[in-house]
Amino acid sequence: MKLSRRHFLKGTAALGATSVAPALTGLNMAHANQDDYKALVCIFLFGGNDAYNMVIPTDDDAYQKYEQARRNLAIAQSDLVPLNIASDNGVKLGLHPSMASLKSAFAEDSATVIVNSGQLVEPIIGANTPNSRVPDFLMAHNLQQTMWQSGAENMNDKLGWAGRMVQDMNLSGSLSPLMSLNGEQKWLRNNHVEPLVMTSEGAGDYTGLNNSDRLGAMRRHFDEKYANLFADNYSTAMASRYYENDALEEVLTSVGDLDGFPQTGLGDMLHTTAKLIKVRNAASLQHNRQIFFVGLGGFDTHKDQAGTHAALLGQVSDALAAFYQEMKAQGLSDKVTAFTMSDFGRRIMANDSGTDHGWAGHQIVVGGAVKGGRAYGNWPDLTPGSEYDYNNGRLIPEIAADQVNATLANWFDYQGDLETLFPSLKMFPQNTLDFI
Amino acid sequence: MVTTINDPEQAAKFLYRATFGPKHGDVEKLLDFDGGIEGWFEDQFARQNMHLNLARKVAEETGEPLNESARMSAWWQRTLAGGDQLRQRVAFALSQIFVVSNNGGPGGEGLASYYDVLVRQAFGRFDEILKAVTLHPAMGQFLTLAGSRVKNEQNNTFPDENYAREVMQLFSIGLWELKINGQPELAGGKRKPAYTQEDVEALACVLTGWRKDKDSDGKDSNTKPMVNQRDWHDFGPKTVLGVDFPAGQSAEEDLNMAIDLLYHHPNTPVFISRLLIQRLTISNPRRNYIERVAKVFIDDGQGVRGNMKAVIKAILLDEDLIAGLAMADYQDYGSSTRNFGKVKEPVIAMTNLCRALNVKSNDPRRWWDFPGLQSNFGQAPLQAPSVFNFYEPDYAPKGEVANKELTAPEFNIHSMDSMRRISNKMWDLILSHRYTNERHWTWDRSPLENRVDKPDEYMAWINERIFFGLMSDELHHYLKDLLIDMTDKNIGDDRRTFATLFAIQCSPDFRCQE
Repeated sequence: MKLSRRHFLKGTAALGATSVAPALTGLNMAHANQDDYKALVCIFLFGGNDAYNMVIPTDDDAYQKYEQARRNLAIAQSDLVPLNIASDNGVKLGLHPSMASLKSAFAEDSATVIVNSGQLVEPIIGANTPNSRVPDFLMAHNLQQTMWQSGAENMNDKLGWAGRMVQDMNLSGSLSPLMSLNGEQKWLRNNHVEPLVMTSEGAGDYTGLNNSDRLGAMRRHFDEKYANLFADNYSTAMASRYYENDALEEVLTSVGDLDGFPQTGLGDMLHTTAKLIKVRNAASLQHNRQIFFVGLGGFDTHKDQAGTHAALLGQVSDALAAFYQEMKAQGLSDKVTAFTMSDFGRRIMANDSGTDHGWAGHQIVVGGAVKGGRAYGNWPDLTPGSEYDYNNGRLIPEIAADQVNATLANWFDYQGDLETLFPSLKMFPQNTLDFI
Repeated sequence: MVTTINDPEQAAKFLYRATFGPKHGDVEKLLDFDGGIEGWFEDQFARQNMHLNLARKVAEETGEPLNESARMSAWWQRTLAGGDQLRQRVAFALSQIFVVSNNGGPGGEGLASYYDVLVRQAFGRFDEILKAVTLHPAMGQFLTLAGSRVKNEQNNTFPDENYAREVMQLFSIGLWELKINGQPELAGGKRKPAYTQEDVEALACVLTGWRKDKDSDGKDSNTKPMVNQRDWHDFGPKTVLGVDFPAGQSAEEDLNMAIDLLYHHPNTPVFISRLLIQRLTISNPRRNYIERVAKVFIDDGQGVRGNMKAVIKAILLDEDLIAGLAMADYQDYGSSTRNFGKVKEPVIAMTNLCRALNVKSNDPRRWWDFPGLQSNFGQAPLQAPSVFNFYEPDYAPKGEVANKELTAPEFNIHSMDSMRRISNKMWDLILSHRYTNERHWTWDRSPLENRVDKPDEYMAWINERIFFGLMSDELHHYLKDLLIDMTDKNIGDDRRTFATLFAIQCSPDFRCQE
């Protein structure tokens, strides 16, 4: 069929390598080299993970304080999965018993915990300023999710930090190198390239398009110009989504199923992520950098937390452990870094059978590049009224999420200004941490 | 409100907004209605079809449990066949504001009962809706108000803040202090939060002391309103949003006072009005349109606040809808005709097609969820991924919409995956004219078969029966040329009807609404 210029433009919006590599700044030209590859994999734990029941002190002293604060929800000390790591202030740490599958990644010094981290716009712990500012709308799910994805001072920015980072980098790719397996996400939004949004099934057939009449009919709409905003943009979107699906289906078909992934929601997402990493050099990808968003919901455990949380943590651990093993098998373990984010931590004091929204939590980071063998950050004093106690056991973070994210951006070879990417960093003594 | 609907084009547009899509004859019925548009509204206000009783009947007659499948059966039957279209459409819109989901909520029976609250209260008063929603056990379970109890020093436990937070953020006042036209109030150039964490904590204390009632079998009821459990309630004094709740009030007294506080809050009229406008009419209402509706929310003309009959009429009959005006680019005070309208919710696009084609269930006892809404459409009634619904109200896709500071919330769920799945289910519906399986739907294709060799008649039928006169000239010409071209090539009935219907269902003309 005849391709109009408009059709050409719309088609290339989905496929055009030039739109992915705007070369606006000329930064990072070195990454045109195919051997140079890195990927970031964000695992978002939706609802606010009770991180203080995910990472638990194994030392008697610290454990007793934990047990005293947590009462009915405390995990038995004898059930903890001991790790080879301790916090900066010397507290030995273990994992929730359902996370034993991650033990080997820690033992290989390829995993760590960022202790007591969360959203901050300036330091509070140790700052000796009685009126430190706190971020807006702490404890509100959607706004805190937004802060993790856009930066603590960038809530009103329409774009996410991974998206803004990529705009300054010379990333290659035919299909977008920013991929979400968990719906449209702010983290990936940017002004240059539409993120690729898929499910763990990746792509599939348009069953009605097994016939040229109907294919031609649909393509007619791609080419049409509409006076109305919505119709016009719908036409563009349907064209892009169609072409993306077509290209993705082809490339995913070329790689078979990989071994070892649990058949869970998160396991399936990380399985597909691993496939897309494996075929990164295929003609329709050609990615020298990839950014993935996967997620798991259900962490808003106000009630009946014990069983629910154990099952969720088990799913995270098993999927992440399988993903780490697969990256080792692909020889890419030190090129791929996976890390958790969550809305917020939960309050140390419980509700009747669950926990309420809190503030600080912990992040787990996994990958061969991680400097394991230790944890990062101080274990806080969980006693009510301590300097860490914002109110009733909602803990004040000591490490800013933006510092963690800036560290990941730095590792990803982002050469732009980190304090522009994360304006809050100006308030902190160091922009990045040493965990990778 | 100045509008009367008196021409076929406006009548068709009105019906796309106020119902799940026109059926054959609806446009004429509206234009000829005794008492005009006012009469049509009064007639709709009087009609009411419930879901739980139908879901129960469906379960009994088919020997299936009253599960999500039975609930969806009732939803499809009410949506596609019910005469109370305005009520059902408003209930669906309300279900996306007062969100309860099977994801954390109860099963089919509890959800159908919750949906009935929205159906029953759709034309009630806002404070009555808010109270009924708050005390329904499905909400009590979903946002964990059921079982929230006063602080216990001995066990070191606190009241549950979940519902207290969301009832303010999402169901009434919203995050930021708003002007009557929906713009944020500014102080020193910054938006002002409408409430604080302290307000959340105090409201959580106010709302303690509720639990599910018991059914006759002694199990927790998912259909009866929650009841209070005296020893769980916090009888201390509280202060919420600057209002003192005196010590010693019962759970019921505290709750009534809290509902009243949120009902009278200056944000509530504009916050709720704007969300309903976006669900029913257009994505980018002008400030004046929002303000006009919010003012009706404040006072319906008879001194009543939150009269939903008046609010819904104000939304559906606003002068901007007749003029085809929306917010200008960059959210200033001008107006734009290009920015008028919205992308249809995927579920609404499906119901539009089903009603146009007069789709029937093959099973005389019930409907089955033939399109498989939840897994294929990115949305399904009472099946949102979280209390934040299916899309962000301010979502703007990259490109023109975002650049011009406009919104198109429905694009948030038009992902690569869902656009393909929706297409496949639309195609399945087109093919279903030949389906006989009990769980399938079907429709009568013969009117198209009878006209397929007469392009003018064929196109007239399509324009009248599928677009209700609103098909663009461009699409009309394209489809007619396609039909003539295929006829010239001696292509058979199937391919000709399939090609035209496929082209229609995926066309931006059909998937968007003006």
